[in-house]
Amino acid sequence: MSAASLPYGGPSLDVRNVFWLLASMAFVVAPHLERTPAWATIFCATMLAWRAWIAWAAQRFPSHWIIKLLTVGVTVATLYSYRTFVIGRDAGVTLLIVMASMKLLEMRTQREVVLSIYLGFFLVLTNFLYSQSIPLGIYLLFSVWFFVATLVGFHRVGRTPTMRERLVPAGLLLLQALPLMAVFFMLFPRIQGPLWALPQDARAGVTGLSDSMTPGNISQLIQSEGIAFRVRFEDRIPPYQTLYWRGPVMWNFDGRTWKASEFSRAATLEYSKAEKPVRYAVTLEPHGKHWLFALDVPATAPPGSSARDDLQLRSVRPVDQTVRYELTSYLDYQYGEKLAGILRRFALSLDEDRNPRAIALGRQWRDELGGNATAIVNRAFQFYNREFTYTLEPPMLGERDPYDEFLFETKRGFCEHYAGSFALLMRAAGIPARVVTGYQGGDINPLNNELIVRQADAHAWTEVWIENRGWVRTDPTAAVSPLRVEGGVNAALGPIGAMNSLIAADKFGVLSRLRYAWQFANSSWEQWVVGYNVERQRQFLTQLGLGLNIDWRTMALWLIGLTFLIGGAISLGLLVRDRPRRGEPSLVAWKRFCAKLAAAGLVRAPNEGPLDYLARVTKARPELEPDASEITRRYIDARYGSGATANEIRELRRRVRAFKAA
Amino acid sequence: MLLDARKPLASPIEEVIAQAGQVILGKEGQIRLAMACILARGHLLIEDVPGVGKTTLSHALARLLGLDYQRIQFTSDILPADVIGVSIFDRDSSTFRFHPGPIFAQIILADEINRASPKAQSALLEAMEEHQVTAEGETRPLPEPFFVIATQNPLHQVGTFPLPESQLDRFLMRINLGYPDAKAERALLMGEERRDMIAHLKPAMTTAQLLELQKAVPMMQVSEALLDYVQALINHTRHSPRYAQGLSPRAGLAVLRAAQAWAMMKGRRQVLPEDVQAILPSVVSHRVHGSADAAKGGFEAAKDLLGNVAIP
Repeated sequence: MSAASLPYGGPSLDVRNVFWLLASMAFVVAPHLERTPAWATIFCATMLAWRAWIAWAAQRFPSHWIIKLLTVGVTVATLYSYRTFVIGRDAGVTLLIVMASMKLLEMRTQREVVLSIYLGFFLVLTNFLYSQSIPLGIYLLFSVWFFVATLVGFHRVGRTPTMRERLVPAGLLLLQALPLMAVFFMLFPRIQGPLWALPQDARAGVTGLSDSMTPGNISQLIQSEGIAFRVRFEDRIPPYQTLYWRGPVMWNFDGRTWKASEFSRAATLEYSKAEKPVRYAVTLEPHGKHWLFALDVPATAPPGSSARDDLQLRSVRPVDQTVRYELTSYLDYQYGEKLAGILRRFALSLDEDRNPRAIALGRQWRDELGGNATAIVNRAFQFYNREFTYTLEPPMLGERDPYDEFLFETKRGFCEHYAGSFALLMRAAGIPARVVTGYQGGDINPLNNELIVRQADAHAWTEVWIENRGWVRTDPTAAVSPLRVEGGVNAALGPIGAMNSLIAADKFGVLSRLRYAWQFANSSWEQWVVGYNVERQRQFLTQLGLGLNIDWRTMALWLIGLTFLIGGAISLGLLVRDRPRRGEPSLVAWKRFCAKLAAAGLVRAPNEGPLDYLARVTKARPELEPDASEITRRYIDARYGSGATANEIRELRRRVRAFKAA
Repeated sequence: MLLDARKPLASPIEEVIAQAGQVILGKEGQIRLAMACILARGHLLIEDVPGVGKTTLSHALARLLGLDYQRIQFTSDILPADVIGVSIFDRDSSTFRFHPGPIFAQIILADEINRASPKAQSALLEAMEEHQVTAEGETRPLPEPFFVIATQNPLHQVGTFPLPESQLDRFLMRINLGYPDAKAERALLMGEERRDMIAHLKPAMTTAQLLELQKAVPMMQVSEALLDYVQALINHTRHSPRYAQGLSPRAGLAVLRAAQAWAMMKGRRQVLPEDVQAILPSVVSHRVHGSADAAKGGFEAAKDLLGNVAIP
């Protein structure tokens, strides 16, 4: 009876093997659970439990009608949950998971087991659509190991193997694959840019700066431990207070919200004074928007991006995967002395009806100081310095005149309050002003001297336009809390967030060192594994001495050559390990005999003696009896008896050669 | 069929087994193992509850092999002298005369050996090992052949002195008789009295024949390949974490002898891995101790051993 016609799960597939497969499936699907809809999670768990019950209690498999019905059901449910079909990443993954779990209900034979395991490997891959972090990588490595161990169990002849007997051979198999994997990783021709675009929904939920600023939204961002980007400087890291990372520049103001303007235009970067250059490379985490961050002021726009006339760098593609770019910035600069009339109007525009007291104060300063811009800025700084408090928990401000309330009543605020109100005061005083958002400062990892800029370093400052000097950075937050600009948010406000509090409490610095080590590992992983693109590959191969202009054909040749070399080395090793010991030609002949029978489906168990094997063979294939028993008799005589002469061995060999089982 | 040409050596053995099988029903495997044990000049330990036919087995074997038979019932107050014998002053000749104990017989059933004190146990076990007893300064050889079947109640019974591992090692094999299956039990219930059946048994071989067979056992061909297999088995128990203690060299020798006896009973001159596999559970079950799962018992550990070691 063929296994396919068996109605029950029990006799054909070993229960423990099935449980291994189910457990591996559950393991690989687990990271998806937080993303898939609840119905899919419950459905998947039910399918696994059902299959486990079928195997455990030797129950009947569901009829194909039930499976067809379920298929239609989950398809409709997926369609309903996502309003789309397999187009989106989430919908596709969900459908794959529920279908894979349903496939288990059809799993009766070895062939279908193999299919399910391959599906499992595919599910491993889908996890990488969501994250490519080190922990997930390790987790998925374990999933692969479990699946291979399951495969080992299903292919074992005879007794069901123990856990050790599964995991150890599976681990060895993976280790054997390791050199091949490394070669493929290093040499497989990389494609410029992603092969296919990540679907839209991949970008949901990334934190970062937005293109508008309302009092309160940066202080929310500051609670985040997330990394915005990492910077590696070619030389020394510049002084902390010069580390202004320019992001979106806000021109538009409606009395409450500052917005990035559509007025900024593509421009070439030209400075009337550009000194103190610093060279550095930025590894930017995906944030789903277009801008790239650069130290004020960038010399050129990196490839794939363009510069705006307000010095913003905008990437052509949204930053939806980690990008790395190299830049030069000038720390000492002067630019924008000529301000076109229309831009000047925009930089002065304000809604006269809102925040009237602030506007009145600005006008009063202008009149008192006779329009002297420098004097007005200084007056404003004194104003802030005297009465204001820097705090992460500012009071709520009203909808209509929030800056009036802030400037004259609450007087407690965060950088966006200061930047926003300062720009408003300047515009009222007749000085063109705009708000710049971005990051300020960063955190130096002593292990690799890398600057890590977090969301917590988000900042907002202002730029004012002064006759003959152009756009000048003015940071009112520095007037209120110089510590913020010199030592970061944590220095100014004390530790923010659970992690920072822990680190501050840890007197011996173990935690912070651990965190740095982890960031170091992460950064290397980002740069050399996830971010291993065409550039990196070329750089790496050049370091290996494979030539600077290695093209993909040469790479492919190397790849093929190395694949054969490694495969050959491993095969040779296995051959040498398993070669029959010399001086036992009877054993060689016997193994050949066993191999012929194995090819015909009668595999000799490793602990099966010759007579037992013969009995089993003749029972299954009575027509083989005469030849097989003669060979066995000769083998027993030669190996377990008094030995065999060269002639007898020759005869045994001849008979084995002539033996046909298939 | 295969290897039939070399059978004559085995035929009286087959006769013994066939006849014993008529008395002890449905236990052919155990009878064969007991026979192999005798042929290999080893001793047999039967661990089982009372009333499953231990006495019947030993008595029947004694009758069929034409050997004299003694039964020693061990109790907690038995003394070594009760086993070995004692010298008594003979007034007529004014000398001490040795009165041999029950151990001076060819087949001995040492019943419930674990109820005796260790001192009495060791008297028996020494006799088993040396095939001679020393009493009052004089060494007296035991008759040949000399075969002890000891029985032991399962250890959870009250008032027993379990045999230590070192003593267990002196038994070549340990077997369980177990309950008969339903068919055998019915035949047993309906058939005639076992005692009468034993009384009517005729020896199937002479003592000389048995001694000759015993001498022939070590002559059975053991090839390098088979020694490789035996060594692989022993090594596995020594290195695998599954076993608390590996097999001793004496255990290795026991495996080989028993396998040789088994091959002889199968009518073969060469010892094959199958022979080793047939006797291994009985030979090693009381010598290995699974470390992981003590309750699982030696038989399971021995079967695992067979499953885990490939034939080289």
